[in-house]
Amino acid sequence: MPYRFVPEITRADIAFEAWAESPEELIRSAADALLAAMLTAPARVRARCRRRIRVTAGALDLLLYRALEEILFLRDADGLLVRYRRVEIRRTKEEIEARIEAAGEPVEAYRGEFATEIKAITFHELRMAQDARGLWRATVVVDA
Amino acid sequence: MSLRDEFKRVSSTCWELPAAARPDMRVSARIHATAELFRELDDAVFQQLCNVATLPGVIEPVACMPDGHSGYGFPIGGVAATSVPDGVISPGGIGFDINCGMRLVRTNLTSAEVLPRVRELVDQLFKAVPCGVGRSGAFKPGDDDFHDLLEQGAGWCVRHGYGWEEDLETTEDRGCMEAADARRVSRRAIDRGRAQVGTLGSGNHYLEIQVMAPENVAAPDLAAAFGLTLPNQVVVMFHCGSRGFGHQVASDYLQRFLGVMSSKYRIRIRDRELACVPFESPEGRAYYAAMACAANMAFANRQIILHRIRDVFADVFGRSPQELDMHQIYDVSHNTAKIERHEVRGDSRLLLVHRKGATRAFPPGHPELPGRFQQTGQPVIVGGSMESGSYLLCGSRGAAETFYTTAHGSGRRMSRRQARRRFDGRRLLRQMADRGIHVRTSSFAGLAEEAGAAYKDIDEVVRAVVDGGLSRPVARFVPIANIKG
Repeated sequence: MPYRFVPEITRADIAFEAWAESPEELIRSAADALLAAMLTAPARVRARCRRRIRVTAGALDLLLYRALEEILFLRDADGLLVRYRRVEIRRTKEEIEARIEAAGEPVEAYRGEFATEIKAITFHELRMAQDARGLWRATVVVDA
Repeated sequence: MSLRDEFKRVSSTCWELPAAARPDMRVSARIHATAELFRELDDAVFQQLCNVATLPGVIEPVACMPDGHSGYGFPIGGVAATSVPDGVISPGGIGFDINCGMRLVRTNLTSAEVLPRVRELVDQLFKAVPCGVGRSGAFKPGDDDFHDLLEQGAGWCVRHGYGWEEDLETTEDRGCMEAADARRVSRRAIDRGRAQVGTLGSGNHYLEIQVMAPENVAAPDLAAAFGLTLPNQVVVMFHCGSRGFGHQVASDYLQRFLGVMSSKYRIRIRDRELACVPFESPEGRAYYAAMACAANMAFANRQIILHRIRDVFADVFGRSPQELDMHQIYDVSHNTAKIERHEVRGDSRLLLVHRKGATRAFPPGHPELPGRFQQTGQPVIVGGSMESGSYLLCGSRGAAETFYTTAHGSGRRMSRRQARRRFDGRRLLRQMADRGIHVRTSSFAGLAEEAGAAYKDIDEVVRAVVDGGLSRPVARFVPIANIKG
């Protein structure tokens, strides 16, 4: 899932851009980027347990914010490191809903090294939109 | 002309952009720094500080401390006071790690006594104080206890046997923000943070054993007032905050503020991370009460860690913490908003002072300081990088111009990812060992991010606040051991 870190946005914290063909894949790309900011070897997170996550929002960027925040919540509240395997987005008149299938393993079982403890997703420069060529792009700054 | 160039030097340690420079700035923006530190500031700091100057109800001036660097919304090192009751409160001016702060504890041991036992000491501390990503502690309060802890802070810990009554007197706000109301906190925040009381965390959070060499005592009388009298006296300093609990409180309320800020309060801002609402609004008051809970969680977190440190020293040296004279010198808060009384153009006014990566520093004689600090002023703990050393300073009357605020650390010169590319954690650990600094870490990648060269020169930061009259120097400490989360 494509992403890149953007050092020029912030010195104290970590910024990344992610892109994908669809908003669903973009949430997965951004989740991969978040994990890569937290871990030196995110590919080593094994799918030993599964979680279903549901987040809703009135706008896509807020949906992304809440989807990413779930990763931090599961890490702290349940001691789990997860990757997003599948994302489904539904729109109703009132809101946008993301249903996410996550899989991962307990923090203690992770066989790689931790890098930075990401504290929070921020709204600073937060963007999720489709560009002129139809590609979905997101910018996220996380508090590290 | 870049925004940086628009800031004009108004003294040897202060640069200013007047409010009139931009149509939406309500007050002027000031940067406190030496010329060297001003040059080192990243460009985003200037924009972020100017954005802060646009907040409704902000009081002249907003400021950035010499260890400032760009963050999100406010710069790290940012200070903004807003009028109470008609100004705003902004979670972005406090940060996600609410009441991240520093504690400093003295001992009556010297480096000659500690160095032969330093490995054993660090190994035991590493076990007693959990650190690293998402780690939980041995202390797991139930819902009712956690609720009480959130409203009572460090006092709850002391009443339950974790510490000494006098610790409260040497903690900012006596270790409790009284506005705390746990009913204003979400279930998510509680679930995220309850198991993390007594844990150090990761990133720039650390625990250090340090030495005060005789040549590093700047003010022997002030040092003596804090019990620092021995040549090569050993102290313990640590840095941590409100962990996942505080992060979730900030996140919950940022989202809530964004939902009402424009529609209900007609407030427009330049960066969503500066989301704010009137302090005297249901949302503003609720956030203040929840933020106070997070501040209290951080005070409690540091109180439990202090208790563990005392236990470890007692175990290793076979003497009680009292016999080892392990009195706390002080506990300072970095990321808070507090209601304080300040003089504004000759009038005494209640203000909400937001400090994000900045330290409150009350001067001698300040009415909010306990008796023991009336002569000295408030102790200020400025943590440097793990390679460079740290400082104890004291509050000064000159800091009235920054709402009695001073620096909090050395401030990043390099981003975390830059530092990780440039330094190798394992090599760094060996190099530090060669220089007499024994390190234990939960992450070598994280250790590389904290390399000394990734930070600004702490001596220069302290020069800026001392020359600028924001603080008075007491002593400098150099590390002999470091536990890095």
